Amino acid sequence: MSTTGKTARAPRILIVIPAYNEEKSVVRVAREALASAPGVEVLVVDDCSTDRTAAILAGEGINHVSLPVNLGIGGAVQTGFLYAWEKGHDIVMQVDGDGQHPPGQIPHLLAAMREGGLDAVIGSRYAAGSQIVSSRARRIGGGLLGALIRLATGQRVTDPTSGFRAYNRHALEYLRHYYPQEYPEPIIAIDLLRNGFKLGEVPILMKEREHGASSITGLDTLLYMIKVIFAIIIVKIRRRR
Amino acid sequence: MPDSAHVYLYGNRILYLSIAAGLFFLLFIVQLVRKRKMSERFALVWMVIPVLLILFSSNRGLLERLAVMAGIAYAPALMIPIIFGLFTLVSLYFSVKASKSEQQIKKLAQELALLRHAVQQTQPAVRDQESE
Repeated sequence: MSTTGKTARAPRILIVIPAYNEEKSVVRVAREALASAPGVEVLVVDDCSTDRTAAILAGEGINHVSLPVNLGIGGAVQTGFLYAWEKGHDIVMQVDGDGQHPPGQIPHLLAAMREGGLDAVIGSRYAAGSQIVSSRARRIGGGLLGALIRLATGQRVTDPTSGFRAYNRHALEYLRHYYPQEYPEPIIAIDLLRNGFKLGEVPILMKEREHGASSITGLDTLLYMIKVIFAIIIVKIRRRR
Repeated sequence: MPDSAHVYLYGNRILYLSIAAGLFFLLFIVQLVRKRKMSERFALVWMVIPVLLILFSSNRGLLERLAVMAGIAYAPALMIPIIFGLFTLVSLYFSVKASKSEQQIKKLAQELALLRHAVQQTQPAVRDQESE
């Protein structure tokens, strides 16, 4: 029996949904995220969409912030992290607004974080037990980045480009200060590991995006790989924070 | 025209052109500042290029001493690496400034979005208080 009189409270969870021109899917994703676990809160970060995303969110009464300029995925997600930090959330999750990340699998990430005592959890399409719905090129690219991360940190990360993630407040304190603006996912994976955070993966099933286009397509893939590999090398040689 | 005078005149042509280009560049920067299209702080950085260009071009003795040190037989040819080096340094300086500005703009945009959200959240409460 507790002598302090304190009762353990349930962790406050915020699901951050970055959205850029996702008027067709963002409301459904937000509603499913709200229903995914009891007591979760949702914040959609509208990254200065040019379609009706912001108007639809306001009309549906969904909690959202609208960025005055387009910051890219990193800046949008970090805005959610700043919000979570200020509001005192214990866990913050990232779920993409394009419907690619099934909100129904949010409890898997939360359970993995709780049971593994992890600071960060990545929903992996390629971890043992996951069901892969992804192109070969994407898997090869992810595999190459994963190998680089393993080389740099010694830890295997099967899906470093996955944006389906959960972070605890310890990681949040770090991420609210340091979060890359472009292609943040693989960079953050290695950055957290290099700075002593406990990072794990949980197998999940991701869907093809329902609406909108990937930010990494065609010839951009090569540029993406060069940029990310360069960023990983920089993180590796940078002083630990 | 004697051969030596011919060589001196045409050998120095690049230096005269450099002085003219430097002066034109200097005036152009001053004009930009005067029209408030560039801040004084950045103008000073840009002015380093024409000032050094004019200095080296107008002082052949200095240029020749540097050329000997650099192992360049034809002194005016030294102007090429000097100009290239100066532009590289200035470009690097502005890349650092642009990176810092990018971070500051990001932070401002995030703060603005969160503040606007906070104001929108409190507005109904304020309206309720006012109506009571």
